[in-house]
Amino acid sequence: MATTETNTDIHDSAAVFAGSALVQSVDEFVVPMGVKQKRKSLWGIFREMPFLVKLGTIWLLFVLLSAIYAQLDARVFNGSLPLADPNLQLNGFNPATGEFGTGEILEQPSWAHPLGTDALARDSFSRAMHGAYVSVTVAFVSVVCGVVVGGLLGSLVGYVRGKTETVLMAMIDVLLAFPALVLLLALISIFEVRDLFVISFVIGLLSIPAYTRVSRANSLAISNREFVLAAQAIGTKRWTILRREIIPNVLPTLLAYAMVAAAAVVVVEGSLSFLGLSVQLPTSSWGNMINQARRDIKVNFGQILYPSLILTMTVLALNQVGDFFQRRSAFRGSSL
Amino acid sequence: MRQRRVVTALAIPLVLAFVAASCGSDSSTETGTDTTTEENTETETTDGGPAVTAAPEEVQTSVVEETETAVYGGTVTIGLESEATGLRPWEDSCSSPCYHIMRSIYDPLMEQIGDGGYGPFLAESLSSNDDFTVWTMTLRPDVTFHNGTALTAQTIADMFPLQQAGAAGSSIISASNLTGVAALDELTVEYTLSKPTVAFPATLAGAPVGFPFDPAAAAADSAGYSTNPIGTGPFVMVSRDIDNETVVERNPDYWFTDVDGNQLPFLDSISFRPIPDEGTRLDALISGTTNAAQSLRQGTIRDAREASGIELIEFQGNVTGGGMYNTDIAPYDDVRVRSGLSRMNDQERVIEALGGTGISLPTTQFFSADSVWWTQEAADAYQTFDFEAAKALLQEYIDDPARSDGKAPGEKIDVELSCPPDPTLIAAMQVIEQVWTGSELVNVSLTQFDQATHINNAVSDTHKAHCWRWGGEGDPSAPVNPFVAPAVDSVANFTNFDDPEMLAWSLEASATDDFELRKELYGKIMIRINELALTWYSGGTAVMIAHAPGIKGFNTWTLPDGTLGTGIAPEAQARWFQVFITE
Amino acid sequence: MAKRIAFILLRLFATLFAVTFLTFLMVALLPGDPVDTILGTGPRAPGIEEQIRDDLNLDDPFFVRYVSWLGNAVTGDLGTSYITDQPVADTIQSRLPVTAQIAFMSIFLAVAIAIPVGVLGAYKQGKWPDTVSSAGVQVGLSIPNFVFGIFLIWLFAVQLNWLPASNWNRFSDGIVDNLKTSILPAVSLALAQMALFSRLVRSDMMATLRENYILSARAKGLSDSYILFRHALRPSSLSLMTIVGISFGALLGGTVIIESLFAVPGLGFSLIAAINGRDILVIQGITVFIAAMFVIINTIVDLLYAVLDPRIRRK
Repeated sequence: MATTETNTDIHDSAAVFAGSALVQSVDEFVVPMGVKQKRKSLWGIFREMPFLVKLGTIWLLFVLLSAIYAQLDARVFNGSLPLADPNLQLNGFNPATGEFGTGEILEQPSWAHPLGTDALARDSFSRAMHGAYVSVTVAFVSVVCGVVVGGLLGSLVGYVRGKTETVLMAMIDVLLAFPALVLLLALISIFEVRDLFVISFVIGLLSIPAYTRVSRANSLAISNREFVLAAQAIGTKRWTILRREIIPNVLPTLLAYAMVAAAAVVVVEGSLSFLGLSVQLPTSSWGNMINQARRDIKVNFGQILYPSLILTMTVLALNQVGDFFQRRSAFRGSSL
Repeated sequence: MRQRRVVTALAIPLVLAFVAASCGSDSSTETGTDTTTEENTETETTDGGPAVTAAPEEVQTSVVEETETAVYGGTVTIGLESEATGLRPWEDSCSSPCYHIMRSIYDPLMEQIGDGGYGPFLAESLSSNDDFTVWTMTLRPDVTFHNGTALTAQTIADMFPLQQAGAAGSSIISASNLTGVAALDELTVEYTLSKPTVAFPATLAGAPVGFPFDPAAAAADSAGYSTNPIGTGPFVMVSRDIDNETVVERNPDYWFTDVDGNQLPFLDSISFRPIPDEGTRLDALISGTTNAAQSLRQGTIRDAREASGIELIEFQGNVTGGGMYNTDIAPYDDVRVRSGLSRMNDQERVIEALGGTGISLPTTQFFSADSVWWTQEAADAYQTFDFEAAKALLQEYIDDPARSDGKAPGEKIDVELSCPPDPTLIAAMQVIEQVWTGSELVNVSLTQFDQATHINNAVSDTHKAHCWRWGGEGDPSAPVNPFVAPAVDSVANFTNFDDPEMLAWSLEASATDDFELRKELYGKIMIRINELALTWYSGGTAVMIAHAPGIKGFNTWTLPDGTLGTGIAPEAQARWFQVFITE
Repeated sequence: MAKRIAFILLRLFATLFAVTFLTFLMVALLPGDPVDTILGTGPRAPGIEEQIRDDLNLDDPFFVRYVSWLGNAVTGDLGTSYITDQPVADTIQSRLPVTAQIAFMSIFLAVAIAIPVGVLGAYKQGKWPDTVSSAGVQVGLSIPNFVFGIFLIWLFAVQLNWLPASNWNRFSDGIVDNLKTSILPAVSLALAQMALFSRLVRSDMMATLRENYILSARAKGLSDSYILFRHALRPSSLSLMTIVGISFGALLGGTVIIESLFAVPGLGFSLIAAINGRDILVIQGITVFIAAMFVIINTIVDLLYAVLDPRIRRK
């Protein structure tokens, strides 16, 4: 087992171990390489984060908690918690008389409404919180689909080549060449479901090809590296090589792509709202909040601004945190 | 580390700065509004909400005579809501944006003159026999198409077979009971109808049957005719780049000379630009990329009122938004359910909730309050907001052991509400859904389909409760007759309710030209519709044409005999023959 | 060599066949049909529906219609739109250059900015140039492209009046006018792509820079910029090339929002209008084109892998 010293000078290590490629710089952290790391506690990991990454983590946790809170409120408490889904209750609705207050559309932020109100006098802060659930689900499901299915397929294909590659890539090509709009509209219209998971899954399905191609490209490169050739030379099984050499080395770029793709998917969800292919109104998502605010952009720019900012911060946070974990994990070269 | 923190932290303010730079006026103007327009009969004071006052000197709403002296020359570039899919009157369906282009190339035989009346335009005169089954029209002499072919009575007769076979023409012909067109002599045409139809002039004012085209050229190359249309109109097609720009230029041989002796048209050319995005269409006008824009959305009207450097012409007529119930499907077959649901709809508040106060008016029937066909009785019969009564009705249905939806007594009513991709209707739908849900007697599920699915649902009667937008500025028989015709015959009877009395009234109203009688009959139909709670309303549809200062003629056009026309009605359409640009 | 070309062509046609078949199937399963779009919701003459169905052969069984379309398509006849009666080939011919130009321009812009940014980020990893550029591009990624487009219109058309707010001047009418109408849509699309591309370049570059052959280049005394751009860039471009290939294809069919925002007559807009109208022949025609271009571009990308990274050999 090749080990290296705990050494911040990566260049020395690389020079010493010819053939040890793709080891990442770990300037800020002293992490043993080539050795299974001791499992640190979550709190320990948190503590070693730089300040901005900490902020990012906190933000992501907040988003996640909002999503959970929103679902709790909807499914368990039937909308009785504070900051309940504003889509379920008209502003000031009085069930006895049927009257409702409508004097507060497109308001600026205030104590009562930290992010103002939208065109139907709904509290934008609550809407954003409930929208987090949609965006989180869409991003999460599509990333999982992509990384698991796409990453596996691509790594396999890039390593194995031959007929498998031809057939698989042909199928992937078909999926990629298929105009996404047609597929989305068709699947959603045919089944007449606007269920969140169906939509997320469809988006995930459509993103598999991209992940496959990215992981294939990297797998191609890695398969020709010396340590893989070396492993083959000594007769290691192909599946073992795939599992221990190729996939772990494909993962960094793939995860880098996944982080960006996740953020992009959240934004894309907004585009789908535009085309009527996302969650059904009045369920809120950040995407359809942005879309609905377009109509009134000249009256209250804030209603597009706030969801966009929330989106931006989530993207930044995803990338910060993703970067951190990328740097943290060591990538083994040869592991024989 | 510190650098990283500082620098990345700057990213946030950078975003804010970028975004703040693009903030226009953020504050919403809260004013008690009084509307200065003659068309609006309600003055609303709002306590809160960005209701916008119409700036009196910039907004025209009534049709007046043109006072300025016309000037020749210039080009109008107008932003339209969508592209016209084809320019063949007998074949291609046409709505407001398409009519802009059509009206430059073609002339209508008859034109609207307000309150559902019609006067001769390309035709010289139109008269009928006593029971409105035979109509005689005389054409003007010396009218030619753009390709030089003369327009004669025989031309009109030759158009008829093509219209009968055309997708657009066939529907209008069958709805207007037209069975035969014959040329009696060089300039006299005789139309034969199978049933008395007093509103037949309306058919000659619409594109499918009323816009003359060259039948020989059309038969020779129908597809080509769509991109190179030939009409008798004030302008000639120059180029057609679909979804981008269509250009027409002055027809030097146009037949229309106005009462002052000017040969029309005044403009050199018109450029039509389809711009689907409402915001971009307005921005294009404000920035000068275009010098006119039409819109059928109240949000854009609100924004246009706020913008400076442009002038507005607004109109709100009989077109209304709202919804209908399909009475073939339970529970909508029970009037208690329909009435209960409708009475929960506080129309004024819904309009206010959508920011349409001062722009969109509440409606109670197919006609707006300042239409001559409007009746107080129908307004009184409308299912006005009464939450208590509504809940009582629904409760009665819920407790009824024989309830039509087959559910057990005490169970909530299931309502499915679907809407076409129309933002204002969708917004109204969300408000109404919450009211219904808030009553705790109804389970509402909302769906929003794409256009094709929505049309399909409507014509195949699989919809349940659905948002709709309907109405018209012409003769009342146009929106009413298909609505009350027997459901098996008429796809446009969306409610599938067959009421023999309503049908009889509509047929009687089509057979007489006695205005008072017709008004009474249509009034009765409106009352009946309201009593049966077949529809609910979420506010009238206001439309506008906005333009750069100095462009005249949209709102002031007259027919050849000098009668004042209908301005931008219906649906913000522009008649181009008298438009001119000063300075 | 000939074998190689034959293989590529085979792959192209197989993909086109599969894609068009699936598309036809999908649209056939959608509720609603072109007749409703053509006739709308107004009154209908008795018999008109049957007549239209007959004219358009809509009642023929699915396979018959597909095979008939296929037969015509291979001879170059893509049929006529049900709704506009214009030949599909004409529609594509007038739309494709527009979308292709916007796609190409936006990718070009995105790559032109992404490479320096990504290289910089990898080179100065952890230091302030990396952080600033990273944060900048991440912000770019998270702004929805139409929001950015609205901002661009507001700034360049309404406020500064430098550029038109909408519509398209054709290339044949003059390059300058064409650029005026194409630059804003292209920039709107470039923003998010630039962010994605630069991250990929950075990530790949970071890995490459750790290679020992880079080390030996440094040991030889070559300058940093020489190493960066001559030795390290090409192998680091794999992911970038892959995604550029995919992006181009995605852009060809997916720019509908920008196209409708800027009122530009592109393929995306036609496609969505055709889907909404169930105009199957237009859908098929556009799909064929997009799919074909896609496969061709990705084939080129595949061939480029070997060029970019000599260690990749064909087995």
